[in-house]
Amino acid sequence: MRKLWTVLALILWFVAPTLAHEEAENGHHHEPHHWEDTLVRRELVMQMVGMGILGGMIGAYMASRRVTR
Amino acid sequence: MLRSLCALVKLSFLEAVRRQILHVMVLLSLAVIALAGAVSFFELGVQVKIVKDTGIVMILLAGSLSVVFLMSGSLFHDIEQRTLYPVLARPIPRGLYLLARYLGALGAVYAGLSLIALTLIVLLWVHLHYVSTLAVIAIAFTYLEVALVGALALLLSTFFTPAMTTTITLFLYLLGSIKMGYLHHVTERNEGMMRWIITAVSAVLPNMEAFRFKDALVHDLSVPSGYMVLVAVYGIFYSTLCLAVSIWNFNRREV
Repeated sequence: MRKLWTVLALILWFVAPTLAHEEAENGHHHEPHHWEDTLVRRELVMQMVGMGILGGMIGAYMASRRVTR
Repeated sequence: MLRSLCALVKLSFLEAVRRQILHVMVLLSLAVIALAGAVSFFELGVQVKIVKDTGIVMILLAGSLSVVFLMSGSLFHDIEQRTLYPVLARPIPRGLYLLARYLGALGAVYAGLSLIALTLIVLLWVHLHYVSTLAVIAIAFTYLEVALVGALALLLSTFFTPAMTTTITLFLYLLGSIKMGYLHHVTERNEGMMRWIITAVSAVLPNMEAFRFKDALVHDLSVPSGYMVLVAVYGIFYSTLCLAVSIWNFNRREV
């Protein structure tokens, strides 16, 4: 029962800002859709490059440890 | 190797297809979409928009919740009920087992989602007498988002118990869904250490909103094909990364 309350509390905590954001979007201010936003494209590419580099570095480190062992 | 993978995927699929959570989510979604299509309070244009909106939301909701609940418990129960040991006693790599678990459960969720998607397409056909390519694209990207959520749940299930995995996955899913709108504003309004922390969290979180083309479908807007390719590559890349880390963690774990 305690776990259920924790889950519900967490969901509510995160739904509140989402709803607030939705309400703000319903105003007159028009934000570009994500496919129109160049910042979103750049962020997606940057995230992939960053994770690729990090993954490569960790992979290389693990491989070198295996070789030296 | 391929034969073992196929056999394990089949077993995992059959097990997932029998789970009640999947049946409930699919039936509930079908009922909601059928209701949205049948109730005619509005003009035809508005009604079609409501059907499109409800359809895509229900596919996403049913898919995400089912995949989280199916993935979060599968590995834990296999270890608890000791069904994992006879499999691992054979010359089957642990990574292959985990991959089969993922593909089987995802296949079961996709089978359920296909029923919902088919209902949505039939309803659009009944109302408009044609189905736009964007409807198929929006559904396909929703499938990809579900695959990503599943990979995330599988990754977390190699670290935590089912309850924790479900909670953290839903938590990350919500954060990923508000990343572009909410988190970016929060980052701009904070300074110093807090800004760095939010930026770091933002850099790791998957961007769930990027997979959603519901607005384009509802308002008949065009989406550049280059952007769709980028999002598809992003989804596949992120899911593969999650699978790779989960295999790595499962390999080093004592079972």
